[in-house]
Amino acid sequence: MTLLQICEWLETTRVAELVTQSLYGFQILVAIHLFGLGLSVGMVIWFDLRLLGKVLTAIPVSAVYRRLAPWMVLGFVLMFASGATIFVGFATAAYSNPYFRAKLITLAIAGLNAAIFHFSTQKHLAGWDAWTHPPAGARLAGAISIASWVVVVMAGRMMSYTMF
Amino acid sequence: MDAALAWYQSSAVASAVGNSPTITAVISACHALGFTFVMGGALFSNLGKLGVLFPSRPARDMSVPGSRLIALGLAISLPTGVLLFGPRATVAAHNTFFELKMLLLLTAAAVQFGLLRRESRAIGAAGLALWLGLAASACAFILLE
Repeated sequence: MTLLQICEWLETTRVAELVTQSLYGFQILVAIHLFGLGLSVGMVIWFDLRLLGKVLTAIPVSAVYRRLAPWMVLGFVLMFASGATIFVGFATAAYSNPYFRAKLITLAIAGLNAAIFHFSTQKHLAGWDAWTHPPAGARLAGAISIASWVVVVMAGRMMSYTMF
Repeated sequence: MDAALAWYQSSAVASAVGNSPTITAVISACHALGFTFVMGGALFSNLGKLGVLFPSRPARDMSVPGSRLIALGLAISLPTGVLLFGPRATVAAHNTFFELKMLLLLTAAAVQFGLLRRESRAIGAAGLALWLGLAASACAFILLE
């Protein structure tokens, strides 16, 4: 089964019918998606700015992460769950949309950046946790994260004008 | 007012935006980015005032950078919003959700920037409610118009 065939099958499911046929299903999902986006990206940006040494410099990086993480996770759960459901309804249109592909690639870059930070840079966190300006690797992770999310937000909006 | 709106709608700028789906999409993408910054700043600033994020720190540690991000977001979303408004100015201006969105935007900005030095929980709760209301009305305007 090819990816396109999977997309075509997704559009025949009951979930897809709910997204595309119900009176306010699509609108409600998009509203949840936008709220999740504001919450997740709006909070992750503060952790990135702390990594860049721009805000909350008196608070250790680990403490900033601990306090922001629940909000970020809630936002990402809302955003990904609603985004995946919307995708089911318009899978074939999304499949061939260049902005959707750019969004997915950038999401993968953001995820890879987070994984590298978690498994590599963060290993030595105890040594620089309270530094006002974290080391270059951490600052780079923060900059890549902000740039990635800017692209994700803009590509997501471009999709609305080129898919429907 | 209606004459001014009609003049703006027929202007070269509004026509250029309205006649080009690509220009509209790019402006809308920038508008969405500004909106994300506004929401990020509003949540951080007002949850900080409520003592939810970093209770051991002074609320100013959150409200000052939060307000700066809101200002950056507004600097992006206001001019782009004016451009997106142009091609449908006469209709959008009379849309209930658009009027609510503008009212909430003005009130939220007044609370956020006019009462910035008062770091009370009540101001934080009011600010949070207003910005979230603005987000809800913005979604309703986009999706139900």
